[in-house]
Amino acid sequence: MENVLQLIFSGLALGGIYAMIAIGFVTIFKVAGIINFAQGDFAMVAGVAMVFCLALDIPLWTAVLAAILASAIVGMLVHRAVLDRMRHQSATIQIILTIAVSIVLQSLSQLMVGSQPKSVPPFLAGEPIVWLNSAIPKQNLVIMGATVLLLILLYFFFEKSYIGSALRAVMMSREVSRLLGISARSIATTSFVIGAVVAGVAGAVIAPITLVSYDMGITLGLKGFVAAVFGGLVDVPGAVAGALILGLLESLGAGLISSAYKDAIAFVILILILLFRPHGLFGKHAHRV
Amino acid sequence: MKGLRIRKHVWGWTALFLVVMCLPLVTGTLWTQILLLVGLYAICTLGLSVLIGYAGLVSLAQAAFWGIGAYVSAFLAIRTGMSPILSVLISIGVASGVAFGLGWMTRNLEGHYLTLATLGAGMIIHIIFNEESWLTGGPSGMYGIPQLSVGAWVVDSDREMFYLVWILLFLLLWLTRNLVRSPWGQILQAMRDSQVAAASMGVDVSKYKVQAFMFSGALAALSGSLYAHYMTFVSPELFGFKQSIEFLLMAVIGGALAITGPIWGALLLTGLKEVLRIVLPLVGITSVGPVETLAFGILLVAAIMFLPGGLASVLPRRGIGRRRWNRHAVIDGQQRQ
Repeated sequence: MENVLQLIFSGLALGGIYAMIAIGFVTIFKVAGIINFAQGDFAMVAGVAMVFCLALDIPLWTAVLAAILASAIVGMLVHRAVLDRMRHQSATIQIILTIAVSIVLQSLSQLMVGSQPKSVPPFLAGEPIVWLNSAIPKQNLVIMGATVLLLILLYFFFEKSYIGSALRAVMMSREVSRLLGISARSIATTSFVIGAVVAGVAGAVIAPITLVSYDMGITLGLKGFVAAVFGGLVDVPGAVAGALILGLLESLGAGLISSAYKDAIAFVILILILLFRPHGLFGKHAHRV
Repeated sequence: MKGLRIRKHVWGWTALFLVVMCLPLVTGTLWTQILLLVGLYAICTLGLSVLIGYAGLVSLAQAAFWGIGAYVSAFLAIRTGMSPILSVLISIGVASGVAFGLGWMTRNLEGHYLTLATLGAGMIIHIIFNEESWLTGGPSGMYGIPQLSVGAWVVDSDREMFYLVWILLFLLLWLTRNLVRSPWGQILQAMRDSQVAAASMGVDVSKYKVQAFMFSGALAALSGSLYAHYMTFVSPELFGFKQSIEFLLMAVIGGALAITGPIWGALLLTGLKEVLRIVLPLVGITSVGPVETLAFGILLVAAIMFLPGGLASVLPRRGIGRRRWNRHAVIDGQQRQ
């Protein structure tokens, strides 16, 4: 029987990861109108890039930055090469396309690093910190720190920078933004890059804990999506809240009830939300389903 | 004129049927087995094609229903010793029930939301396959599944199974063809093009959605149970997300709107798998799996971007089906400029 406080701490860290992925979902959806099935795989790309860099003896923190950059590039390519061309197609097509992108990314990674999970050293060396009778691995602190830092950076980006304002403009109205001289296409690509960067950070910081494998993106992406649905897919604070709730539920569920069904928790929640509150727990934006 | 047209398409179907029936006589054991599997996949894919192409519901849970068919039939046949034919029928009933549940739960959902809900449901079912060992034998699977039999006659040769599967498939194709051209099918298509518009015309969207899911689930279960009795062994990894994607691929690449689409899709994918399996080691690539998946992924992207009508839209018509394929047609049937 695990220490409940410890479970809460790891749940919060988990929630941080899901929050980052969820923010990517929301950004891409609000700007480009696409639900990106490959979102989790952007995180995986960062993890794989880290493994590569470390194998080439590149120092850890440089590897982290390189990994995030790799994710960003992949995000941009995916949008420009594939999704942008099909932006007039139906939702069905776009879903299937992003699924296809997802499997291409996974198989490429599998070819590059093999089928066995690879390990990555923790960012901060040392023993777990003991606080209030719980052992908190230092990586969890890294994760929580990264999440908070990312949220702050994103806030300033969206509120204070020109591109951030342009993004918000496109989210509000694509047509009017174009009238104002904002290239909706470039902004859509930018949203993909942001989504990929955020997912990349998530992938990089969780790599030391969960190991890097070609299929780590599927469940990450799904759970990030569940969190995003909490906010109706359009509300960032809602998504973050949802992510934290999901992380906590999963951690507590795995520790206290059964670890075999812990993945099922997310899916059950997903179905429940889609059934009863498809516009999100907190999202009041009436997104016409 | 009308008489001529009807005769033409019947010729096409008959020709295809006869060609297929003659195949086991000319192919060796390996290809009979492969084509048999193609037939089984095609049955499952047919259900998915109707769901995607005609009802406009992209489901990622098809492999889960395939698995329900397999496991229920296997379980009943082993534990209760009942005749496999009966267990197959019961498994179809169970899968239809689950499909009813899924259809009902997603009755208010559309597009992305619906697809993701099916994904979640499929994964939950897959986890159940893995965890409930007392029911399914867990990760190590279930073996010793009895082969199909009617009384004393056991279907124990590949050829017999081949004929069984393909005759069934053709019957189902004919049934489906009539179904989608019936008022039921028209309503499904109306629902696909716009749920709101259909509802405003008085269509009970929930009811038809549920029925579409049940149809798809029933076909999947039929295929899955036959598969189980043929292979005599099943394990959970056969019924996960990856397999659902493969069924999706078969439906889309073959052509979701064409009745014969599932055949081409299943044929291409299974054929491609076999070819890769044989060719890749020859060029020094030992890990066939990822290359296969990569090929499928690229194939899917290419198919959607350049051939939205699927293979069926480019193969010679020979009078099978009457749809004209607009170059810009997308798989959900909407014609754009």
